[in-house]
Amino acid sequence: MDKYELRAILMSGCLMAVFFSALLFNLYSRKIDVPECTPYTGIFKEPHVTQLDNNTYQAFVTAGMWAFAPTGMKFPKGSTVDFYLTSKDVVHGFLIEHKGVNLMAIPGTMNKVTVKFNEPGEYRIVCHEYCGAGHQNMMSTINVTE
Amino acid sequence: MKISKSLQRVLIVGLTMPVTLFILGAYNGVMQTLYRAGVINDSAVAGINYYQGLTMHGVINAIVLTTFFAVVFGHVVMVNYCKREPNKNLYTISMVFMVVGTLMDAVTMVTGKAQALYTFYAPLQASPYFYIGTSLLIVGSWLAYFSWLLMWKEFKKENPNEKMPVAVLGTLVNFTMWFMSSIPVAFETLVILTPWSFGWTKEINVPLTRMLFWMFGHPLVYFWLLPAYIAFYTILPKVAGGKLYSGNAARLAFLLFLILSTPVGVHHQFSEAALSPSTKLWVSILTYGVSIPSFMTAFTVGASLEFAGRKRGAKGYLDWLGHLPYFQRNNYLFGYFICGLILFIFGGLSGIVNASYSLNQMVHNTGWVPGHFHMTVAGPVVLVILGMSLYILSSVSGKPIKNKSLATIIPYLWGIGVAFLSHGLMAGGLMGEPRRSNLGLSYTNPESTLFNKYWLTSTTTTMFGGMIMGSAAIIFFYVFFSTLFSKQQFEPCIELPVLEELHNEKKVNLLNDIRPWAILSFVLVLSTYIPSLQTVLKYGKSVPNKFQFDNTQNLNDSSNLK
Amino acid sequence: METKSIKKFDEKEFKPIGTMVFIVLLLFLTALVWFSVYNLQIERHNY
Repeated sequence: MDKYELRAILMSGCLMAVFFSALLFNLYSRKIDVPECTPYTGIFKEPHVTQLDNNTYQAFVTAGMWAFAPTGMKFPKGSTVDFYLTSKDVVHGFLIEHKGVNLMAIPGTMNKVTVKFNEPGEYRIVCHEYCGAGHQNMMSTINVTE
Repeated sequence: MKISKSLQRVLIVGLTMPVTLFILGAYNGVMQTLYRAGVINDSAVAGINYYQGLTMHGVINAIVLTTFFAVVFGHVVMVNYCKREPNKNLYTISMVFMVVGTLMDAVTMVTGKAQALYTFYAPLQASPYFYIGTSLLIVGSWLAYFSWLLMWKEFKKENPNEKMPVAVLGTLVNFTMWFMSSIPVAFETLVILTPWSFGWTKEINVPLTRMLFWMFGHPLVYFWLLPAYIAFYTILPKVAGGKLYSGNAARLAFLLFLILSTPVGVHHQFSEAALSPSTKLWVSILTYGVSIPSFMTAFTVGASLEFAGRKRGAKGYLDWLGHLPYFQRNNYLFGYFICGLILFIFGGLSGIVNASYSLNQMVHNTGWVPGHFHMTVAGPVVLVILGMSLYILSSVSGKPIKNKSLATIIPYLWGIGVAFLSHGLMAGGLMGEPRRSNLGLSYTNPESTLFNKYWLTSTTTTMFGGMIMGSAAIIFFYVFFSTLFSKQQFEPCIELPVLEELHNEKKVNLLNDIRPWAILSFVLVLSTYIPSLQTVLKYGKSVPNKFQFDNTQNLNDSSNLK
Repeated sequence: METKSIKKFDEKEFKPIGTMVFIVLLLFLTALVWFSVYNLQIERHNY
């Protein structure tokens, strides 16, 4: 192969390797990862939030046409929340602004993400997957208190 | 080479039908930018609702226009290099299937019976005739591919020692990849979705349908891209006044696409539940791998252009970029190619972000994604389609292009439009602006409680870009149709610029035989899809769901069942 | 009869140095964009 072409390929390959290492670093040291596979045992009887201790919560969220339930989720700052997410009808999205949380709510599956809220404020949850006529109204808020 | 009347007819239909539909596709694209910027605060305009328009935009521009062009350009390439016509029955039936399938799709979309967008995710239901129409369009394109395999076999028998021309290899590789990858979507649409849509089956495993769709959906984008790459490797050098730097590098790049584009569909599903992190990590690695043939293309095409620039007298490190035929009426194709290449720089970069495993969370389903793909599919892919459609129309109908000056500036205007459009979308996306949403009804409507003022600047920039693109499209339609309806002035023929290579390269057998690469492709597909199928079936449960876009009631509600 | 001037472009001596410059710049731009998004993600993760 032409030596210049080979150099171009090697340089590009090295850059991809650098990116990949940065991703692995994030994975192991900052625990920034993609969702794990979670068993699905059926739709929640009632979407709700459970408090496990001072700083740990579990939120069982159901996405449906065209709202997220439960509404009015409130957590104190510094808390860690496990969000469990599914859909009761079609595919929905789940994006928490300012936090980089980005999941799909797919009927028949359970998605999960762990989020730590350090700053107080209002965080909007937006549905970003087309789910019918009311899709652009599907938004919720999480309140993180002082 | 002169062509028969029947081939001429098929090619003209193959060009005219998608370009005509593209009027509707482009209209809906521009409209969306108006809805999203909050200039329109309605769910529908002129009887077409936002999501219906979005479905038309995606299906027409990204499935119909691209597939028809790949077939027409494929016929042109094969005829040009093999110096014969494909089997008449095959190319005719192929076009008939494609036209009928497209008409089925068009009717279902226009009548509002199919508005689940071009990804038609279940359990949002589209008309079964939409699924069948799409399958028919795809199967029609397979028939063209089969006709070319026969042509090549014949040609090879008569010329046993010749290298497979780069354009022929590119075309056959592209359609081999297409054939392999359209099988899962054919299964999804015909075996799962159509019976479910008709009501013959009740339960549907949604993650399974998504896995099958994206098994097709990623190679799909390379199916769009490879004809543009074929043009860049085999037509651009001559058009720019240079020579192709390396034919073997081009061949290697195409073959790498065959093995690396087919297994990576899961990278569209990073934020889904029923696929494991280890599969997603492996897919990320493979996707970084598939960026390599694109970097190779950047090098080879760059070197070919640099050669052309230096031949014109350029001396410095980068001024060869200035010594190229940007604005020459009689060489209008150059603009289409160069604007596509420039846009693709940014399209490719943003794609690497998308492919990056956990980094994908920053951009998934936000405006960044359409920002990315308008710089790829609405960049080099559509620009090559527009430019080459004019070129091919002219040559197979025997009519010179009307208004070459306008033809020359279209790509520059289009390119500027895409730059603004995509910039707005990507900036908005990083701010959390969702894609596929009628923002004007809520997020960009100051009267709404959901109003988000940050998304006004990004959506307005996008609207500005969209309107520029729309203007370029109008000029294109003018040039295309005035050429189509003009008088024939020369004998219809198929003739592509003759490819000249810079170096005298040896024939490398491995780079002239698609079969071992197709086998490797299949093996890599198994490596990502066997684990994916396992987790999808283990962590995904079938649900008796079926929904219309405007009804929160499950059509399969147990009170309605039996 | 052909006369070759000293400055005439010789095809055989062509070396794609300009393209290499372009590729290096392209890779820098890629890294710039990628690490910007990467940093944004870390910021949001810690927020």
